Amino acid sequence: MDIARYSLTKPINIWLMSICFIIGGIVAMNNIGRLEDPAFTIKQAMIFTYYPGASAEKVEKEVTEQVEIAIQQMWQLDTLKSVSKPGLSQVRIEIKPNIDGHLLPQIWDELRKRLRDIQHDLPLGASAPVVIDDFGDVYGIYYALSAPDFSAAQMREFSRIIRREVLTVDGVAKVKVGGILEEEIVAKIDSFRISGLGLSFPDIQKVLANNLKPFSGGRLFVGDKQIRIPIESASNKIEEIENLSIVIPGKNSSIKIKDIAELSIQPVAIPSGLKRFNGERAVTLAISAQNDINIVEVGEKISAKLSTVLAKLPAGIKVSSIYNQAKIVDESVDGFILNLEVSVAVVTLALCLFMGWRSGIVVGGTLLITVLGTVLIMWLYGLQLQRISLGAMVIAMGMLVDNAIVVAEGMMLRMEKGKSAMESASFIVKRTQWPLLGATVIGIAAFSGIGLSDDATGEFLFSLFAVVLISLILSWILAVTLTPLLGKYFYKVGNKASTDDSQSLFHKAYLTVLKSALHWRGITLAILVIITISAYASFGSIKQGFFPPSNTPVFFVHYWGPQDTDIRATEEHMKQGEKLILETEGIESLATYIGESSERFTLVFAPELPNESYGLYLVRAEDAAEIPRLAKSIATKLRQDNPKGSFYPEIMQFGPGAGAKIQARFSGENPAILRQLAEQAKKIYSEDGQIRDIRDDWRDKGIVLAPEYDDIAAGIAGVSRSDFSQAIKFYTDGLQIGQLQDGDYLYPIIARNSNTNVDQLKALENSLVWSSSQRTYIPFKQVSGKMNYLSEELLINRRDRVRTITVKAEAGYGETTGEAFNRTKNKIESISLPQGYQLEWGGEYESSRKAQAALGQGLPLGFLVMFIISVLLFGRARQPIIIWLIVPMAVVGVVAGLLIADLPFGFMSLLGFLSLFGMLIKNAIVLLEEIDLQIQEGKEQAQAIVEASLSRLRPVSLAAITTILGVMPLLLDPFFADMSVTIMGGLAFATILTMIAVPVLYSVFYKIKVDNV
Amino acid sequence: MNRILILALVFILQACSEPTVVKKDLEPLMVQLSTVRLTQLANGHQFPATVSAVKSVDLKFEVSGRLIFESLTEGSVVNKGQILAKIDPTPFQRKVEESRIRHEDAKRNLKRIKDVYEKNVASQRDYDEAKSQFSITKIALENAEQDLSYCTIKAPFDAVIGARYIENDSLIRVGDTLANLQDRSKLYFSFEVPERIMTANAGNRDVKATAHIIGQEDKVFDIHYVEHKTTPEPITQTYGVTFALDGEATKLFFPGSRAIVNIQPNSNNLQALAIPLSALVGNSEAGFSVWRFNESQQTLALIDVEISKLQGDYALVASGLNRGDKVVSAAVSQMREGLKVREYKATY
Repeated sequence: MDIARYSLTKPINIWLMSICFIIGGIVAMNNIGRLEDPAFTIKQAMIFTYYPGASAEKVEKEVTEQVEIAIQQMWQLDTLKSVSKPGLSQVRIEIKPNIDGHLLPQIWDELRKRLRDIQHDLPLGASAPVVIDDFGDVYGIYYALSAPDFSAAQMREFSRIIRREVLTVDGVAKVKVGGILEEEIVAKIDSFRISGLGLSFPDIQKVLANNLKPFSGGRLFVGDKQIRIPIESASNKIEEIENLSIVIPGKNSSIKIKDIAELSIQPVAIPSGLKRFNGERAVTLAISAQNDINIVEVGEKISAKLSTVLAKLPAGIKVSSIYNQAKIVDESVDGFILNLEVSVAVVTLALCLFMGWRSGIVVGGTLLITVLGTVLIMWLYGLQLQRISLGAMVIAMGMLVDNAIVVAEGMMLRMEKGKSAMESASFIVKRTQWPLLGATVIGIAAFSGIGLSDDATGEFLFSLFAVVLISLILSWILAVTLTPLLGKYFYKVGNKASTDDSQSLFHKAYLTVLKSALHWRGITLAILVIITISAYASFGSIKQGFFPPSNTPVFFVHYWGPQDTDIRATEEHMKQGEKLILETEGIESLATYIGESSERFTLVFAPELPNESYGLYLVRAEDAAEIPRLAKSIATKLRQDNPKGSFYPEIMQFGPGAGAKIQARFSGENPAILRQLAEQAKKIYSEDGQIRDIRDDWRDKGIVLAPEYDDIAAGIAGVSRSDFSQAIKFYTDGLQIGQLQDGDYLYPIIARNSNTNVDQLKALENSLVWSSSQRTYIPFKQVSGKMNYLSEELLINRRDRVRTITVKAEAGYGETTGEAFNRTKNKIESISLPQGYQLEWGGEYESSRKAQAALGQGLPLGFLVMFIISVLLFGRARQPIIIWLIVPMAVVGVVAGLLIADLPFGFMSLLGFLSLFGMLIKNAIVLLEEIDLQIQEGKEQAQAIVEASLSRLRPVSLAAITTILGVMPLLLDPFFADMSVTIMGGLAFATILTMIAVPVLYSVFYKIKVDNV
Repeated sequence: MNRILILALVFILQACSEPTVVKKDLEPLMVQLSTVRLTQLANGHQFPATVSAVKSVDLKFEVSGRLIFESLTEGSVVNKGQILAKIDPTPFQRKVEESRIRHEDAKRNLKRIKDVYEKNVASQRDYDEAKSQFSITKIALENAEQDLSYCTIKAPFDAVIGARYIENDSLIRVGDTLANLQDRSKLYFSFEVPERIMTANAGNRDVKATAHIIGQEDKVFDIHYVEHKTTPEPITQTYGVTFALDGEATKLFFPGSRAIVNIQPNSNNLQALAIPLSALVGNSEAGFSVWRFNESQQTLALIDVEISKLQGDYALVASGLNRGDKVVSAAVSQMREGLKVREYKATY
């Protein structure tokens, strides 16, 4: 098979292919989908079941347990987490990561079916379980609407209009409006007054219900026609409710509602969640785009739409962007394309410098067409340009040029020796095509761990593997076809008959070193072994990381009050802190969330579940580099200002695995023991001194006020428990006595005690309870004895059906989580656990373990492929063994590089490490092949080793230099920095290894003595 | 081999790190402390009450007739002895006249018979008959005079006309109610007291009681105990209790209005230890604990407390703490047993 000859004789075919790649690549570049992060499904759903009035423990036992049992039978289940709160059960189901995202709708259907089946097992009073399956949706375009001069109802109307309009934009999937102020109609009733009249709440409820429900009327049959008789529908204004009359029982007179109740529309007393932007009340508009779409374009369309809608609405509505993925994508993709261009330019320049301009053009041209071809194929396969795939291209860049360099270099040398282009191309391609293909496949196989990993990280990074696969295969194809063709046009046939000895200084120096190394091969090997061992030993002093912090200039400060904090108090605390943050220098904008978290505006942000004691500040800084300092200073200030709450700053990181970085989970039966274990762990962490933000997820216990219900007295007085609970509701947060439909909004009508200047507890103690059977009012004290004050669990967390308390903490400022974790790991593990109790690690440790384990599953196969190919290539055993002996030594350069750059060894560095294997093996293969070939051609063995090495010096070091220069732009990108250092440091040493260790090992294995001439 | 390599790698990642940070001596944590203090127990009760007059009297005629005069403006104040209503007296005057004539006739007749009798001409029987006739006619005359006086009704005491039920010139029958007179020298506040409170406070009259009318929370009056029932109301099982309001204030509002009565025991033993609600931590059972500050060692210890009541933002402690103890009252969830702390004191 003479590919080079074919391409030189039929250049038109090669040109056709190249033109397809160039034009297609340019077209693809403009049309390819652009995203911030790879499209990635969060395979989670939430199940909410309401059980009003039940304690957390009751909810756990009667609702959560049932729901969990039903779900547990699903084979797709990965983890099952639940939180039981008073009145509410939240179950979070996570599907196995290896299940395809497209299957999720079916799985959720099955989930719903199972939940329907258990519905009749749920206790009386519990609602039907609600499945929320869009929990993982990302709302990448996120606006805040503030209009301080308009009423809540107007804001609601505006946001409804805006939502409707934005939904018509092409490519928009969902628009979620948040922070709408709910309203209710409050009827302030003086209980003593209605008790004097002998009126009861059921009477009022009946009047409202009978007057406010919709009526259907009738229909007449007259002549041949049907005539509808409508009944004027229910009154829908407050005044009309006020004028409804109630007959006073036992008398023939009636009274109007307004005479006993003062009605008004008010914001709900206990809002479910509040949002603020830059210190003002706001409504948020979270927009998610359809998958596989160019988010940049959608973003532009949305902002155009917004401005046309706003023009139709009254002035005074301010729309500000909280997060704009479109803009970030636009910038980051542009930045990356720039990186790519810089890389191509750097590589080409380096080649021009070391090999002359002709080679620069030949290899650079091949490289350019390879990149364009890769983009074209990516587009055709529906891969998007995003952080990972663009990074993959830059990683691949170094390896892409290798093939072309080998071919171009060989061809050039041969043509210089006077051979024709056809002959030299044919010679070099035939000689190197199989080693190159093998090495390329090995390079791809190194990344197969990622492609085959079925973990979340694997899904996140899949495009990395895909891009490496496409570009490397393409680079081999182009290297054996296009490069000879270009070489034919650019290289000149020389007239030197034989090898000239005018070797450069570099070559001479290398020759001397190589010869001495070969001579004293024992010492050489010993040195190599010592270096390698010491590198492994110093691995421990490298910082450990998982994913690096993001470069988006956004960070969070989480606020947690005591778990039993009322949302109204949380609002006050949050407002107080808001001022402090806004005063800080270097802050661009601030979004405040009270009682709930922000929407998932970026994939890597995991929102907290709604909790009245929770608040979130989403702070946008002017400069991303300032964030660590700002986060620290703001958190400190907030803590000083408000010692009652806890403030936890969080810096966004790339990649999956948000949440607390250090997590220790204790699981077992007894809450008291669990809390005790958690206390011990917390003590260990706080004694560490550096670890900060220590907390647990069961949070504080709350106060319960349990009024005694005196059965006997209540029985005599005819007071039922329902009467009793209605009275309590009326005197505290309000009793719902009806509903009023106004347009598309349903107002609840809430009756509250009008005497609000007395404290509620006192009012309750002195209140009256309606006895529905005796139709009279009974003093509360008559049917209730003393009030009991108890503490109760407010959050019962379970994990895979076992009660689990999680102690969470963050590493100190200026250290990685890995360092902090390793420092305390043994101490935590030495906490003695009672029988039946377990400790599990969560947080970054767990996710990085999981990622590495998943990678570890794919890796052996990848390595097997690499090994088999290396054996197949040589058809002998010793050469592959030499290769695999030098592979572990690659760690030396990595360790040195990371230590010098002071970067952590994270997941991305591990990937860099893998690609390093590929490059190292590739160089070694080509060198070994060369030695073998030269020996086959009849050269003396010792000479063959030296000469083959010498001949590989230029391509190997060129490839190394181009790769090192190619990944250099990535140093500036925080996500890829540690990876690029790994590759740069590793490759620099790997080159030396290839050029020295391979010949030495070869001579050892084949027992070839080399004299130090 | 490759697998071993990866395992080795993973092993190295996990195991090779050495703790490099030197353990620092921890700064004591600054905490906010609150002193346990005695507080007046607001142990009062509040009852809805009905206002009533001390006396409420219905005016009625004891004779029938046509009403010729009334001075019964509702709400007006009348003095004792003031004429309030009259019915036409003419028939009664005639009746008196008639009775008087009969009586005088009988009187003369008696005198005549007495003279004759003394001369032993008339019989004893005739004399006795004349005597009794004299007495009978005398009584008839007196009756007629009384009926005549019943034609006029005078105010029996200083009163307020609460309601009027008849119109002038109407025919009044015996027993018809003309009007209602109320004695406003005092106002009574009657309310129902739950059995529980009644039993707990049996015999305790030493209370301070105040009342206000619904809707006029700013006008509060002192009231005093009058009486209480000792049998409960059959349905509600509550006891009726009456307190009274004296003096000028009685003129400010009217019987029948609805009022709120506040009753506060006067005893001295109603003080309790109070701690801020934010100091409470739920303990492993269903009870509560607090972090007590140890002054001498500057450390914290967890103490179980029993809560008897909430009062405003404070919890009243039944047991577990002493007066003057200091407890942590902010960020309690971050405290630990034996933690070194320093008291936070505002520096300005």
